[in-house]
Amino acid sequence: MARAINPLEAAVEPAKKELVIFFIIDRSGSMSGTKIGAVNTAMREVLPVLRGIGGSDATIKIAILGFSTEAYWISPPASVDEFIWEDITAVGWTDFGAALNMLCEKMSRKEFLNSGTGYAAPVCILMSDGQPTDSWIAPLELLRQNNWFKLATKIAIAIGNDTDKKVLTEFTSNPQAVLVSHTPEDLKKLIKIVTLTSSQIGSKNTAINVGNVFTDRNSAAQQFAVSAITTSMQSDPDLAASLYDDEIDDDF
Amino acid sequence: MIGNFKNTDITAANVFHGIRVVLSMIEFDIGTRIPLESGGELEILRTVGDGGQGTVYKTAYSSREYALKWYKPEYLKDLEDKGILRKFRDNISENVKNGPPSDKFIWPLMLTADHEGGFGYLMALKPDNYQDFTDIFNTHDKYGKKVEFRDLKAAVNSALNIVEAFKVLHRSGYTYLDLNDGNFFINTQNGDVLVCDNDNATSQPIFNIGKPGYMAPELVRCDKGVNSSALTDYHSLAVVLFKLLIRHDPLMGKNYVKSVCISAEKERELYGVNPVFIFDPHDDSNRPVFNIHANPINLWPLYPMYIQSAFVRSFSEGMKQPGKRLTEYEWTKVLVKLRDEIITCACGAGMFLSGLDPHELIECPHCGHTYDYPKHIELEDFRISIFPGNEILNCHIHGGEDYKTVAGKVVRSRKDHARLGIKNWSARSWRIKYPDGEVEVVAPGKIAVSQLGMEIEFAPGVIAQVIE
Ligand SMILES: [Zn+2]
Repeated sequence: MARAINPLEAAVEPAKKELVIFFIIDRSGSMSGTKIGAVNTAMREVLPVLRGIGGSDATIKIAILGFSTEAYWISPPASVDEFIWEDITAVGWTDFGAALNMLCEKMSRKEFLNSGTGYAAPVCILMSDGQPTDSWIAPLELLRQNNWFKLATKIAIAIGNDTDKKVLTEFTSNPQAVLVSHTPEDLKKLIKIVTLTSSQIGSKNTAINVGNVFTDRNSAAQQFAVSAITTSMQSDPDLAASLYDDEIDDDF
Repeated sequence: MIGNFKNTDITAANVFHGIRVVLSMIEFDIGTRIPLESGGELEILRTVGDGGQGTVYKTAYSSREYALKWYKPEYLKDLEDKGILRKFRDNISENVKNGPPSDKFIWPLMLTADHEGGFGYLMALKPDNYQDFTDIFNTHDKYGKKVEFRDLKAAVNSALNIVEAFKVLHRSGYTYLDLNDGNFFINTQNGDVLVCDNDNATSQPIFNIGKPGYMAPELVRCDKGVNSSALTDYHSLAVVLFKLLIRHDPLMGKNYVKSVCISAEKERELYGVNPVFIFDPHDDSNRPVFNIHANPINLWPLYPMYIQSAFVRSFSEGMKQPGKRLTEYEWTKVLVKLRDEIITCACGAGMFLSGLDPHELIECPHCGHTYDYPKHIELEDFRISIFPGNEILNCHIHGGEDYKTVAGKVVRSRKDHARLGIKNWSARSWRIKYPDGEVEVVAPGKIAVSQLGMEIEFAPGVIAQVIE
């Protein structure tokens, strides 16, 4: 007897590249209260919306690195389909250097980026409100040698005027990729815009060529993400103001 | 400024129009009114989806409901920077004027007037009983709900219908820019296909846009003088069909995995500069990888040789020589052949006959029911299994591409289940010659009892034979 076949019944979910979004979150004491509250709210709301964004192109994973007195991985890369955000608290110092070291260590084929299916260039989203309290220059130098980090789209969200924006600019290597929030509402909006835009751009490459000039989004992913984010921000009166005015008072 | 910023929290939106869902941060408030170019106003009812090019809303206009695709400001800015925004808009205007090539296209119906620096167009809403091709490919929707075809016939029908849509589009003088899995809605019950995002259909390809995995390599490389055309669409068509049947990217093999990080530069190499089909008979450098690429490894061998050859021709020879890519006519022919090989068990399960031993009983993988290996109606180019439910189509009898008109159907006798017949669904009588020399005329609506060795003259000069 011969068992007949239906090929489509043998089909499983296709192999896809993975897009890992690394969130590097400052949870030092100065973040406690409305700041960390806004971070928790925004993350809880935006992560479910990422489901399905990868479409047929990519599986989206989320990794969360928190830093205060020392740094630790709140979550290693996990599929956004199953991700449940657990509120984080804020207490302690701002050991930014420790976070950079851990990020560098785990952005590796031997560590977090070990899937055989291939990867999209990662996305790193840094959120901080303060000044590092440990030494961070050497760790950043080291991180900059990391090939994954080199290819990554790096965006930083400065939480309030007290943030050392120079440090964040060093992280993103691009002053335009440092966005400032002045109120908990702004912060929530920014986290959402940055997360959605960078994951959309990161998971799908679209090429547009006119008259034999090839351009695509991914080859300048960071630039493209920054441009898309700022175009979005310009549509919001509050966020638009923070794009152009450094002297806005904080309301945290 | 585009729209009023809506400071609401995230709401779960539905998957719509092939555009992946995100909550747009900048979206119109419910009730916003936007003027149309031709006069009148639409009203925003709710957001249904969001993607790379725009946001889709459910809207009301003159007491009917429509979908509105509203372009994202950064997409329009991108087109403006490249100096093609005006032409892009004119193209949609032209499409609106010309109307859809067939009712399978969710076509732009009306442009909006410029509104707060942006614009969009109205089209029909996606019917509820259609699924995104992306979800079929992924085997589930974004909520994890399983999405699959009702049976094999529905799956092969959908492949035929995608080919048909391309054919109609091309014969109407259009090519399709930015073709990808997001452009099709499929009814998984019967394989019906609707094509959306037809702002990308154009008769004057002024620019090329797309996902590299779907674009012809000469477009990915940006070769001089090459524009979107039927030939580049044939590559995209083959990619779509491969993804539908084999559930994998035809160029995603060892080379892809070796690249580790698929940067834009890598992508250009894998899909443009050095594209190698994973089953290229003369180049095994990019084979699927064991334990990673399960679908091509498991599914490819289950398809008959003529399907494999069709993909090999499209992706091996056709990669460098666009003229070698299969046309719609050729795809229709091989897909009809594939459809002819499907037998459907009484339990509803569909299966392929190819690869089975004609001397053995066939066992349904679902219910375990067994069947004799069927006899066949042999025509010049086709072999149709004489199995209840199987159809003789116009294209079987007359050639050509009409795979939709049924001319005859295999039926089972109610009194004697072992007896099979062929019912004449056509408008003309058939002449039957039995092996013993007896001749019979089977009028429309009548049944010819199947017998080994008998001949059926479906049309003058078109004589089929019933064989083992
Ligand atoms: Zn069965």
